[in-house]
Amino acid sequence: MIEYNRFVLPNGLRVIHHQDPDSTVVVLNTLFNVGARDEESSRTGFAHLFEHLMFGGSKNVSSYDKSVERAGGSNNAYTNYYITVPAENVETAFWLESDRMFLLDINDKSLEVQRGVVIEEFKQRCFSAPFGLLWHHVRSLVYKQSPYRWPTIGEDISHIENATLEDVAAFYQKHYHPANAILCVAGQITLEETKALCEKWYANIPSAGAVNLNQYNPEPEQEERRFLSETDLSPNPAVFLVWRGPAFSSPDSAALELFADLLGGSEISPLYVRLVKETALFNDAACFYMRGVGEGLFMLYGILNDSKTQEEGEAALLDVFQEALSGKTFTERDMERVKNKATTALLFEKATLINRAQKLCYFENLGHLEALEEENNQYREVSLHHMLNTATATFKQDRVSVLYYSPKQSE
Amino acid sequence: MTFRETAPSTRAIESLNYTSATREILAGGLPMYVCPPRPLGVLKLQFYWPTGTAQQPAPMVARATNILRLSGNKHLTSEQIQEGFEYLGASVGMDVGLNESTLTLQAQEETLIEALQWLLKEGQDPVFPDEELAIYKQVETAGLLRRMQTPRYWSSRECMESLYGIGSPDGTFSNPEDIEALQAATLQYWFTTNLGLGMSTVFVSGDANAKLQEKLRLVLGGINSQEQAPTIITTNTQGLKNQVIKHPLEQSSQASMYLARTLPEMDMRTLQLASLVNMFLGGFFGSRLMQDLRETRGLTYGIGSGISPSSNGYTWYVSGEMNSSNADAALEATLEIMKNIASNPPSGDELDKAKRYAAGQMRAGFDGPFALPRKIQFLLQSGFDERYYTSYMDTLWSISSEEISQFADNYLQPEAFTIALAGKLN
Repeated sequence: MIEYNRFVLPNGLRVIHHQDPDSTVVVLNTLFNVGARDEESSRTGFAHLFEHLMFGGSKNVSSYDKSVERAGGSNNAYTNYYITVPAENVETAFWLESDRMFLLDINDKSLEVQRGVVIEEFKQRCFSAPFGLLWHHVRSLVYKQSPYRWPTIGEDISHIENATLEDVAAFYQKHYHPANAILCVAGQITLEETKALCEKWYANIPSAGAVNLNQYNPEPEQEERRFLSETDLSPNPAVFLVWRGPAFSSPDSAALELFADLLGGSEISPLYVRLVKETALFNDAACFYMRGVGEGLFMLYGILNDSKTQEEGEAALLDVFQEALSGKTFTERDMERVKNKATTALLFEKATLINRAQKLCYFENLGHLEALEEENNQYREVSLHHMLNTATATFKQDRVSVLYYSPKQSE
Repeated sequence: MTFRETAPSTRAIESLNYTSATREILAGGLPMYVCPPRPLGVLKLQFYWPTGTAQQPAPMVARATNILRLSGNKHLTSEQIQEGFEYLGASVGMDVGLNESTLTLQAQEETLIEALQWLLKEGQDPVFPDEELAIYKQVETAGLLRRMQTPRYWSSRECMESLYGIGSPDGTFSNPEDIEALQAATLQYWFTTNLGLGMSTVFVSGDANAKLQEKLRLVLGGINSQEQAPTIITTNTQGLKNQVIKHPLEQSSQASMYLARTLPEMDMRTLQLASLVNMFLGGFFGSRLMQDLRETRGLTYGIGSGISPSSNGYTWYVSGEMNSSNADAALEATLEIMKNIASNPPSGDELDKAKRYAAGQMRAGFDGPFALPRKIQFLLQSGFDERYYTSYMDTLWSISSEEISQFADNYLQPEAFTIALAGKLN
């Protein structure tokens, strides 16, 4: 059980305190309720751009990184900002984190440099590795109207190339303020110290903007099979089958996660045993359910061996999938096995301080902090019957999005 | 002036503030380290062997043997063995490095002993079935071919092969034909002579409460310690140095650079000095490479440097990825920064900041329930004792700017590095 205290500052900043006397460090994890889904379609990649701009200094901090380093700390971000410092230097973390929430210094120079870095990151990740553009292709195929149709790194590199100082300043003003943020203070620090430091460093930050209500263009139900064929740096062809599914907070999403783990989560799963080991159709075949805040995605995929066609691959993936849905594949023992795995994985997730801090913020952002302790029960309560019914109702074969990848050199 | 304009005072970290693991010899002779218990509900039980790819008789043997050690025995298939672990909510992971191999069993506190007994029952007499080896070859080859599409793979490979010589312990990169050549008999031999549980050192971390420790002593005490086969001594051949190797990859839009040189065996103080010099070069965000190439000039996304163990000492490397059009400028700037550390060593504020960072990071490296085994394994590999950690802070704070300059002058001259560029090259 993760013990925590929660309080809210008058400016709307929600603070969660979690004490760990065994730790020698303190983590400050800040979650801003903003992500790629809050971007305009012509200005994508901004939430990710801020992962870089947020380290460029603020009004009273000329160099964020130098100050962290001087305190013996470290920091990073993935649209979730965290800093770890030795417990005796915790006030530095409060100073740095509060100042960039208050008065981030975005100027022409920092924007120019970070724009260059992000463009390099985009090219390195998306254009220089096999499957680098996978999520661009998948999202554009599955989503037609909602902002989930572009990935976090952005839909098009030109959106970052063309970002102006006014654009990014407006994005900051709108989203990066106390009422739209959650701060978790975790580690070797008492509640009293946490309250005093929050009062000193955060309480006087005005809440300049509104709370993000997370209202987006709804995505209509997919009524048809969709198909896209692309080339890729992968030397082997590949097939990806994707369906949308319920959000993290739905009990059904836990059922779908268990289904995905049973079907293709390990080397004893039917996808791997039948399609990689027994028939040697693929050199990798797996599936997973990505549980998101807004909704989830189920991906079933295989990377084909030479001389096998994508049509063969798709048919084989669907065979194993349909057989599993029909109830012929999994037993009660399988259900117990996959639940035991999930329980262990949850306990390991909670073993590290940074993970605990991030989980506390994540569940607070969902609006159900208390649900963190119910996470394991969500899995334990899923029955075989419930799991198969949910999967059958969610994953209709005639509403699948299909993506074929062919090696570039065969063009 | 508001209170925000003044940075809070910070204290330099002067102690690591950690509790050591306890070491004991079990009834059968196996050494076991037990880390301070934490009430988490989960544990890691790690078996560690001081042999890896540097000692293997042919490419891929060490890795394939360890990965396939649970792929079937005379009674059970790979799936049956794996199912036994998964049903208990446990998992087993294998890893192989240059001079080490590990098997890590992760489980809940209440099922760990059962999972361990399953491992002892079904994991000690592998037969490396032909069909499992065939699948392994297929999967491993496909993964290798995918890695071969990236500039980073080729820049590091070309550089290390040239520096150490193809086929030497540090210059060995596998090819598909090496994977294809793997044979069950070779894996069986490597397992029998190097990877038996009786040849390992055991590390326990996580929720190792007193009751569980007693059970572990009972179960693991039944394993009789065995000698590993004498280490195969292979040395690096003389590689090519002081040259720029190019590996074009036309379908990539990016380029990757990799620079490396050898460093000799070092004593504890010299290794700390080397690590500090490396920090200034590219070992952290405030390093000169990161600040100049990425944060000031926006030439790269990934740039950094490191010192890693080699079979005869250490390898000092610098690596970075960038747009092809930036490759020449990035390489030129990198060489300039390397050259300048000796003539313009960090002093005063820059030195103080880096030491504070290093001190904080070293302490943070001990934080968390599963941190200690890795720290102890470093000592076992490097031949150091725990004084490396107990004297770490005193040594760190005593390093002078002059020592940094001298070390950089001795070892950081660009002409001593082998350089490789891969990707779309101008």
